[in-house]
Amino acid sequence: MASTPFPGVSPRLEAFAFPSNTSLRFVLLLVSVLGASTFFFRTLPVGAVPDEACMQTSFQSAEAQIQGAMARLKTADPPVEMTSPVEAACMRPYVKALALRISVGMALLLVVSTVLFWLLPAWTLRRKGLVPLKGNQFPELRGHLDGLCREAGLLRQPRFMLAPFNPSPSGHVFGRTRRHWVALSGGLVKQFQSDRSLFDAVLRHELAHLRNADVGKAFFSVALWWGFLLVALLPYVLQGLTQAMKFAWPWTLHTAWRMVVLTGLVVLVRNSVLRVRELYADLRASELQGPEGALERVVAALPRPKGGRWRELLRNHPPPESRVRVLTGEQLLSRPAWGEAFAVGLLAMVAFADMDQFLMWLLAGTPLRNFTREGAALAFIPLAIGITGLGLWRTAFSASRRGESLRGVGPKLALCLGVGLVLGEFLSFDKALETTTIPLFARYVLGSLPWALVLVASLALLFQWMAVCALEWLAVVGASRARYLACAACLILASAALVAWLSELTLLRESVKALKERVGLGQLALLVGGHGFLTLSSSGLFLLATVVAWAFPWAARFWPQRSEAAATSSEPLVPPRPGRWQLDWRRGVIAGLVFCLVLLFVRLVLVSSVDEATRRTQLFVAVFFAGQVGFAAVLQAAAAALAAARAPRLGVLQGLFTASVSGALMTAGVLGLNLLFGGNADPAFAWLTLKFVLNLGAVLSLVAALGVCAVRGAGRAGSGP
Amino acid sequence: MNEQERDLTAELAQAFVSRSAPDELPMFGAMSEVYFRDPERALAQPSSKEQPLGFGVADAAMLITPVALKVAAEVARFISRELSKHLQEEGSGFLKSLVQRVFQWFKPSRAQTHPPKAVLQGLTPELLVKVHAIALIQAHQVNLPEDKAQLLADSMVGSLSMVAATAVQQPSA
Repeated sequence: MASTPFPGVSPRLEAFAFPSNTSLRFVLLLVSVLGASTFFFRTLPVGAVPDEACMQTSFQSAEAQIQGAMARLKTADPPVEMTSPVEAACMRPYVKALALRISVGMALLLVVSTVLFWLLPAWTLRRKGLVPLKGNQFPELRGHLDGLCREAGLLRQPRFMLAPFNPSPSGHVFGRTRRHWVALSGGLVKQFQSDRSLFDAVLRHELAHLRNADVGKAFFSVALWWGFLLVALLPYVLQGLTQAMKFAWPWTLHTAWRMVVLTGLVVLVRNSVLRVRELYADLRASELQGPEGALERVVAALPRPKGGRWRELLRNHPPPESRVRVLTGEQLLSRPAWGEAFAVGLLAMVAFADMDQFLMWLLAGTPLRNFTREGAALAFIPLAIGITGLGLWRTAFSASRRGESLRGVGPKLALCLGVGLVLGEFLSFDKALETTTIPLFARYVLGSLPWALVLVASLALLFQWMAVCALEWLAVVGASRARYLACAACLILASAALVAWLSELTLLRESVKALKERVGLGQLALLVGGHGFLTLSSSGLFLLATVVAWAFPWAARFWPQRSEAAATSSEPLVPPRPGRWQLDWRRGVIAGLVFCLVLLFVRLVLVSSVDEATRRTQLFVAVFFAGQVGFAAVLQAAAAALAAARAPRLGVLQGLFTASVSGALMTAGVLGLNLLFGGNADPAFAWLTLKFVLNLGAVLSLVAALGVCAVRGAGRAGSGP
Repeated sequence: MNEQERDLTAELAQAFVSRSAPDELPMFGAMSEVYFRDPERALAQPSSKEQPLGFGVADAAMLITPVALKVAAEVARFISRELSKHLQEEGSGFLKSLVQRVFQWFKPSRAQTHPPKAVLQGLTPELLVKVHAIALIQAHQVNLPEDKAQLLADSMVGSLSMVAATAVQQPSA
């Protein structure tokens, strides 16, 4: 299919339409180093170890609180606030020392890395024996280099250096954030006379690194790696050796394999940062050189590195084949970031429990002490969503330009992130403590499976929604600056939803873990189901989320730039299927009216057949309210399913819209009829009714609409092309 | 390496580079500067490790200047050693005169200053044959192709014998 040009973005440079993979992977490297370092800092011994008695007392107190809570559940007494074992007075010095060590360790790591970053250029100049490229010795060459700098649009000229004895026709840039050097090899300078196009190709590539602002990121990555080795890994290895000498082999081995995995991950992420910016530099250079440039020829002539695909992961440079593919227009840089999604999930979860404990210590005794899970999630989830979501938007940008679909991309990304989160938890220090024996490990794996499945399923929904938002908004805003705004709004909304959901899920999981040894399976299911139902139905955030789910992508059609973008494009911006929404509000209204009529009829029957005293009992009121909510939810689901079946596209979201319309009408009906029949409709009751009707309706509608869309999709697939 | 040997090395090497690789001449000053600072380090095989933000490790082109400097340095050391045995009485002024002579021979103006005749008589055919052999061995050691190695050795001997020949034709100083 012919590509559809977005105004203002060259097809070659569309990989730059969103922050590049270099930036994302650089952030990922930071996370990986900090996450892995947290693990290492925790393995070091802490001075203020709590004594056995303190540990026992604090955990016994926690146990007693759980028993009390269980008893209150049976007698329907109101719950009382519980305290964590970490908050016990004798535990506080230990937690404080731990938190302090992690904080100081992180600070030290960043300081050492910054110092190394600052010293790297001087070290490179010395080690490589570089001498300045003097203008009086090379007047023609200097003039030519000035021209190339102007062509690259550099605001600040780099210093050109000569590596005279290096015979390879190559160059490299190095430096700090605002001070840059370009080193030219003797072999390259020789080519200035004999093969000017080769010389220009190499120089344009190097100057493209400066234009892409790669120098700071690449060399800070190198410095961060050395900082990690010196500040985190070295003390860990020394401490491990000390323990091994004391014959504490099991514990040493138990953490050592985790150390190897985490360090390996840091290495892979660092190399991926260094590799990917080569492709971006090639793209930028190819845009500068024009059709007569020799970059493709020069890259194709580079020798193939030895070793297989696995060895590629350990290299600083991508293989020449990949570079040629990018230069010939293949959209390698717009592919979904599967690896990044997995890595960021894994690394975020390695440090999640530590952050939770740190916040417990920090917030103990304050009103925020019950929000430590949210706080820990807030530290990592926006980052995970930012990295994976930006990749998704970039893929969507490229796909919508070519009229390709994003089918399956969202769920696959969710799977990668979800698997990363699950494995990351397993790699964390807390789980190292919990899974010291094979039975404990097996128990942990079995206990984690349901949690992992729920997590991956919910992430799949979230990522599918993000993919829809990206396509809807990009079809309207195109390459205008509004794409950043739309993308940022989408990522913020997704992050907020995931933070809330993940902290609820973690709480539920911990509750199950605490309860499953005290109650039977049936009672546990009842407790968990009841808690989940009540939490979800009465959640204002969930209500907001269901409305935002259809409202945000739908809002794109009201963006004023739609007509402007369409006018400046020679072809329609929206790929094959038009982005029209046929919002089925009629079915919502019909379902709402049916509900009101049925409810009126039921009320009339009840008034005539049940005496007033019975109708005023708590049980009757509760059952009647639950019946209204349940019936409303079923009708909403039916309306949503019908709407989804008839929607030309985005059936699930349009089904949710119909459910919201009918739910709002049903709530009005419940409140109006309640007033009519002598009840009240104060704001608190109205808000509660709205939340129960819409939330329960949204859950059922989501299931119904997903089912309808799945059946419709299967039918289409079955009927063949 | 003393200053005189250094100057002779530079002059002999530059003479060869200007004939066989003129495209390296603009770099000659920078290269000889780095070379004389630390010859071993300068001639060490550059690391084939990929540089962060480098273009990639391409197949290396042959640079003539490093080879020329290395061979010329060896030749200069040899001449210095051999002639000083025969020309004790000429003292340290000998090499300086020789360098000046070589240097001026390559210059367009060719100033009329000559080293002492006795000094130039030390550049016997036997010595020049030895110089040729040394240059050839050195060139082979750095894997210079045979034709280039021969050319380099010839160039070294040629430069020296040209100096000697022109000096002998001049009236003694």
